Amino acid sequence: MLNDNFQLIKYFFVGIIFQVIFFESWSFLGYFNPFFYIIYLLIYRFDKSQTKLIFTSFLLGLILDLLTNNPGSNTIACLSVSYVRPFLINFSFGISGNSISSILSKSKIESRLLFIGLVILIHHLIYFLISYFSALAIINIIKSTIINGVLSFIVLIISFEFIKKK
Amino acid sequence: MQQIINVLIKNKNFVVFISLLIFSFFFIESQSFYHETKLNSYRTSLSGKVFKLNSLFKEYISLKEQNEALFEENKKLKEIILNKESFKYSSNEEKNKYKIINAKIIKNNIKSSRNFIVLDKGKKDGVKKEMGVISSKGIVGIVNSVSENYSNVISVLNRDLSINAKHKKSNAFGSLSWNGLNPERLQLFDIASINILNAGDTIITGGMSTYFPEDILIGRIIDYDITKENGYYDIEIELSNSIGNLNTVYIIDNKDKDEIKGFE
Repeated sequence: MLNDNFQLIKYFFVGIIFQVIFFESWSFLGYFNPFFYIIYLLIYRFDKSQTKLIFTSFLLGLILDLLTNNPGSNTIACLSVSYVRPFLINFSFGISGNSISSILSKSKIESRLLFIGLVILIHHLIYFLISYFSALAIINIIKSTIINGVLSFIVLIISFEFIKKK
Repeated sequence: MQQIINVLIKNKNFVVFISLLIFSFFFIESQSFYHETKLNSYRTSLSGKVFKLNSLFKEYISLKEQNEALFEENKKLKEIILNKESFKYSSNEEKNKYKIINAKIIKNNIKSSRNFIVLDKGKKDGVKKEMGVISSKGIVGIVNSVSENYSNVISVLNRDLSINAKHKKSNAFGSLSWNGLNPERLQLFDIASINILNAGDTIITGGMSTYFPEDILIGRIIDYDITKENGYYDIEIELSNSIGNLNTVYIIDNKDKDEIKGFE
């Protein structure tokens, strides 16, 4: 239990530090960069309190917004994903979702990829919707969601492989 | 109260999510001028829609008052028109030849061959016997009897009524009456066959009686025939007014009526 909490706190801060120091300054094709800190939303155990997740995700987004001088896109995107996460788990893992306690547990690879993809898609879509905040920028919103989403997906898959090996 | 708390506890995740979301939007607004402007514009648009609904409701509620105001304004305009030919219209009502009294129809009938209309104005409003009654579209009838608060009007759709009328183009005078059959058609007699008529020509009041001022619309010619024996037309007129659908009318008070009657 204590170990679980420690792991969560670790990913919470690792996510922030990596995002702010490394991924924010690293940009692909000028202005696309992966959102590594989502790892916290993915790695949070499925059987743990959702209320706690909502609070901590809000805090995660808020800290990132303050550190990256963002108006609030990270906060709202993290908050929204933390709220819809149980639906995404059910959708991705199906009826076996109840027996799986974490994304690191043994499960079908396609279910895991679907879950990661959905979390990234929803997070990015909300993030860019809030950032642009204009219906006229819908093309830019979709473009940014797709390109950044692919980058985030690659970075997160590599990170999970690395964590599993460890 | 306990139930409300139970519901809140049951949906605590949703409550926490919404509370934090609202806080996030406040945070966004305080952090970014762009988002503040955008949110303000959405708020203005939303409140504008709400205010519009509100104003529509208020307008609907005040329709009656607005109607009254327009009716009153129409009365003044009618007075100006009726007094225009002598350019004598004066804001001092005493100096005008014609005075208008607004009235509402409280009973109307067009089914009989002798129809009458009851108005909500009577002696105390200045209505007298034999005053002409018109609507915004044309003539309606003549006041037949008056009580303290009500007046009875002989409708133009009454076989016993005959009104002086003229053909607008030729200025030829005739006598208008109703045969008691079609409530939209009146008959005009006594126009000499020397005058040239066409279907669609306008028929207006002649001004030869004290009931109606000159040039008030009556209707249009839809058919005519020459009576061989006496050389006069029998003209069928379509009434400009739909008497059965009227709600409000104007009673015309001709101030010179008594003086003119003195010569008759």
